[in-house]
Amino acid sequence: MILFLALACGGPDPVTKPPGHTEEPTVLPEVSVIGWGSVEEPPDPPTHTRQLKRMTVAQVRDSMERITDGISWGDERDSDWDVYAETLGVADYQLRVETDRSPSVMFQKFLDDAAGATCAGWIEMEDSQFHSIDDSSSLEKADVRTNIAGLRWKIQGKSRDSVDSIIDDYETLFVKVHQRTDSTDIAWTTVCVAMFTHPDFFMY
Amino acid sequence: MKTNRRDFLRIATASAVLPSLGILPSILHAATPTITDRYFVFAYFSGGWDALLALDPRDPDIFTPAAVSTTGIQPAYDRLRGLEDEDYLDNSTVDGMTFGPYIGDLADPIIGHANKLALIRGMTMEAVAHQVARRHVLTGIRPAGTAVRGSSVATLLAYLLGESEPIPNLVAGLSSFNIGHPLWASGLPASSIDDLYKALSPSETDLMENQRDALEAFFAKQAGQASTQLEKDIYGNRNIARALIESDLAGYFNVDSGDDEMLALRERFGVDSGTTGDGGYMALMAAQALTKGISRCVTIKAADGLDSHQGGAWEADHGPSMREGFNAISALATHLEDTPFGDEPGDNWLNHTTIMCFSEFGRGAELNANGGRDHNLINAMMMLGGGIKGGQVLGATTDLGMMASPMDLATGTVSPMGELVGNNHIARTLLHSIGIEEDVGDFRANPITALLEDA
Amino acid sequence: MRPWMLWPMALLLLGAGGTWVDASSQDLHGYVRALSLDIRGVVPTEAELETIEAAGEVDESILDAWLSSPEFEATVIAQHRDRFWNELEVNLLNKRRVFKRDNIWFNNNRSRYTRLQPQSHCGDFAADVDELNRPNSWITNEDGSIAEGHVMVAPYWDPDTPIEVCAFDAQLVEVSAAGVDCATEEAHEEQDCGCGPGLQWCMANTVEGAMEVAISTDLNERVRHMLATGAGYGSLFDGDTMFLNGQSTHFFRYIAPFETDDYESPLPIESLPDMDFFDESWVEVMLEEHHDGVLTAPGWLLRHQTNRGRANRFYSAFLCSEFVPPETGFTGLGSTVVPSPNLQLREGCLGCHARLEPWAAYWARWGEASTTFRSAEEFPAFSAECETCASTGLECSDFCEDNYIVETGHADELPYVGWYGPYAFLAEDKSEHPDLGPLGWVAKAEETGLIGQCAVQQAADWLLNADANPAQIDDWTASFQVDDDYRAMVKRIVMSSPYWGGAL
Repeated sequence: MILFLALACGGPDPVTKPPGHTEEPTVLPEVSVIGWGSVEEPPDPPTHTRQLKRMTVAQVRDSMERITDGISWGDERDSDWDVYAETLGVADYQLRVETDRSPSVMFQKFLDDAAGATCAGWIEMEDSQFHSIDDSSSLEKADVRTNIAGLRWKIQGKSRDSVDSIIDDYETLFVKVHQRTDSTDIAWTTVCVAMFTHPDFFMY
Repeated sequence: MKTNRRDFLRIATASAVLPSLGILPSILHAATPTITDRYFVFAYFSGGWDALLALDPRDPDIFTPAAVSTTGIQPAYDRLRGLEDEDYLDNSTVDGMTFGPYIGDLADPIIGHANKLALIRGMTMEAVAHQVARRHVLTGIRPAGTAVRGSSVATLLAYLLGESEPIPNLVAGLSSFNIGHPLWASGLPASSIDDLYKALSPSETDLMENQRDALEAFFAKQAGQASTQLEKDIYGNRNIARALIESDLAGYFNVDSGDDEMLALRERFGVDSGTTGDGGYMALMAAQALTKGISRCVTIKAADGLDSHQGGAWEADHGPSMREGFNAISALATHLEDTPFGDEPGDNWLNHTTIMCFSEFGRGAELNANGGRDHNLINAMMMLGGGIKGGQVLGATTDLGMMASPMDLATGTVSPMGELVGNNHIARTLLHSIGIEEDVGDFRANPITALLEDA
Repeated sequence: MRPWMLWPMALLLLGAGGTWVDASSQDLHGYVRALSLDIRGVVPTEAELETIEAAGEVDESILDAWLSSPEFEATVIAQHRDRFWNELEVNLLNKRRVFKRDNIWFNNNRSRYTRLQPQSHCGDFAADVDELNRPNSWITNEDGSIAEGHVMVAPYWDPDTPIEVCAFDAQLVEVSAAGVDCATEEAHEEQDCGCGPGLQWCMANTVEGAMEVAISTDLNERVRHMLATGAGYGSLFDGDTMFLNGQSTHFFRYIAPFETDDYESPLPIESLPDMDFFDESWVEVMLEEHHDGVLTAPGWLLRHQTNRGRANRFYSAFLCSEFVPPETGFTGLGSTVVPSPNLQLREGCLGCHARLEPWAAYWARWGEASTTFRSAEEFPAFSAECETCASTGLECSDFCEDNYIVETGHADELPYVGWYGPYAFLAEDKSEHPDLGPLGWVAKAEETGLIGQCAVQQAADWLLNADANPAQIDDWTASFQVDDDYRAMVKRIVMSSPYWGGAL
């Protein structure tokens, strides 16, 4: 009788603790405090120095605006970089939780668009710092190469003392466009677009 | 410099390199489809759909509130806003194929396509976290954590079939993956038809022809000097971007053009009436991409906002959002059916396009404490179109807790000797449908031959 | 200040660069550019570059200045958004939404109470109303609905542009004729309660979006605050303040009270700052004791709506761990019996849920899909009253029905009858989790240094874009665990050999 009453009055302590399981669980994996992840530890990787990566859309946008003293791509209200953000793989933290930083087809297409608009605006801007030479219409080889070096320095952050062979290629580009259009402004705009759309700008 | 399709291929693939490592790409490279006139639409319903509301309903007169404790199933149709009793179940024109209240136009007796649908019920997923589950269904291979271990199935199919198309693999509204396949098979992302139009159009401040030619010659020289894979990929993608602009494809996606064809498309896809939501634009984009010979595989987001843990969201929004997506797919199927394919009289695009409707996982058979539904491993999927044996239901969930039932892959019937079907099976089936019988995608699952017309 | 690094002039003259693959072939210019982009998200200015060129080095003072800039704060915020995923796309509160139909705004959800038929509209005519916009007359339609017409209202979200609003929804009544406070959820069914002055108790779609952004951005501001004040990294979890602006303040003051099951203000309403809806400034406010930093922020709770989701995100984002299904796939999903609701025992689920369920229990006192806190006083772990009504078959109160386990559909639930819902299946040794809150898990993780290790690993991944040597990670982690200083941790990485590519 007393035992029955004791059983009948038993039950969980109403104060704090929930009841434990009445049966042992069939399988409960061991939980180690260290290494709670269930992915196996990979073997030690070799030491790598910093690997190049592509600028994010925000970095491209802000860098182009800094380089060109504020020329932006898009209208006054919205940067086109923001308009196309989703297509460019910018994370929205809903469907896409990682930003795409690949030098993708879309990225390069819109970068080309932005470079065209930005370079055209920059060269025409009042008090523009586009040129590194006094006479922007000069066709003298030395002036052209100095200006190229100056643009590389401004846009791509390359040393002005660099003797990279690509400077020859930019010079060829400038000369070719000038020959076809008879305009140094158009030629320099083309060089500007080439530099902004070259991986030397957007990879770092 | 205008580019025809043949030139496009030369330009675009000039810098594309097949990887030298890995077994997978080598096997895939050796695989030859026997069916090459097949196209694919992957229609994603985002957030985890509730199968009880469309693809796998239950009779509320049997699965009553009082029976929940014994059945573990709670349709709760009476909580759904704006529905009457007679709306709860949609019996369709196919015997045994009953849908829930939000199947929309797909099951309409006049404009619907029930006789072309194959429903797969009782699928098992392997994740109930959105990112992981989404990547699993897109690739057909379980990710390692959130890291994918294979290309999207769309990428595989584009690689196998899409070499002639300017945009073999168009992906709208979600991610795409390419591991070890050529650049040109990668998904070209466009979050909307407007963005795609802009991406295919020269910019308003584009360079003059003289400038552009000289610039491209400059980059051709840089590409020729590329010595690392990264550089080659960069210049390869650049070439593809240029080639796309020069291919004059943009006009097909200018939804605001006002021309007669586009106005008719807008009406057909319900973009102005609002019956298809954003899915209507996506379906329109898919239709154009396929029927204008632009893409081989198109992945679209047909519906959004289905992650309804909250009761209010489930009661008011989940069903209507799903229905908009199904309406969009129905419009797509109708359009493809009405569009002639090739020279064979009576042949149409729907005969050659496999449309797959999916969500990353299902939702619980019982409501949660908030009156909504939480994520669930048990799921359903739907296919229609080219290669699919329509008018059938494959597999089933149980009437106790809506658990998965093993399926005989050859017959589609429930069988204790069968297998539990998952994303891997679906991926394998899609490759099988174009005549690739070997498991070149390493899905480690058998194809569901019952799904296919010519298995 | 003594320069910490000198570059051989030869490198500058030769323009060392060549085939660029990684930092091992970079020169000073490449390093500076990377440093500026990684730390500040933008290339260096011409003046900065000239200064560095002239010196032939990056002086540590420049690095320190960049690490103290608002741009660095923005960069770290961006990194943490990759952890928080703080972007809301929820329907905050459907029933307080106003829509436009035929250019006239109305609360569609309340039409059954105001116009006596669901979805019914007020009609396109000027309403006959009193000084509180209560209709004096209306038209009765064939279907029994009434149409009262519209009035002009300057909404709080655009006070310079008055809009036409159906009169019932434009009412300014504070207490209904039945004595109901019109600023509370009980007012939803009162015909004579409307949206209040300037429609303050309602939301348009765009307004709801702005509120969601504000709720999400609170987490960003906590990161900024951590950096700006030099508080330790741990302050993200044990910090006792949050940030409100005009939009979030409006939500918590005026909208949240209409759904108290789902929303509560993070601090007493009377303590909310007095801010105009358009005020974009961020005000720091003190939180009550039960909050656990970002892990109980409204932006976190609403983005990760289930306790399992909250636990899973913390596990991934701050412990750098993932749940991975077994190689052989899940078994037991083809069961022929009603599966156990206890996921820690259910075949196919237990592999992950054996850990996830007790971790989710750290959020047990926070409502799912909600920002509400359920204190132990209001919601004791065990209720004798609820257990009694469940066991004896007496009708249970709504409180018991809604919050406690009073019905069981499976034998595994029987031992938990009478217990507060989130305690279901909680083992005894995990029973303290609900009252410890998420900070309990943080504390446990900090015992083994996991949080610090994960933060270092993530920073290294971001900055190096390569696998760092594990020994290097350990070194950085050890230092981080001493100073808990995120800025200093980043500085160590960008000053390290793997980052700048040269030999030490």
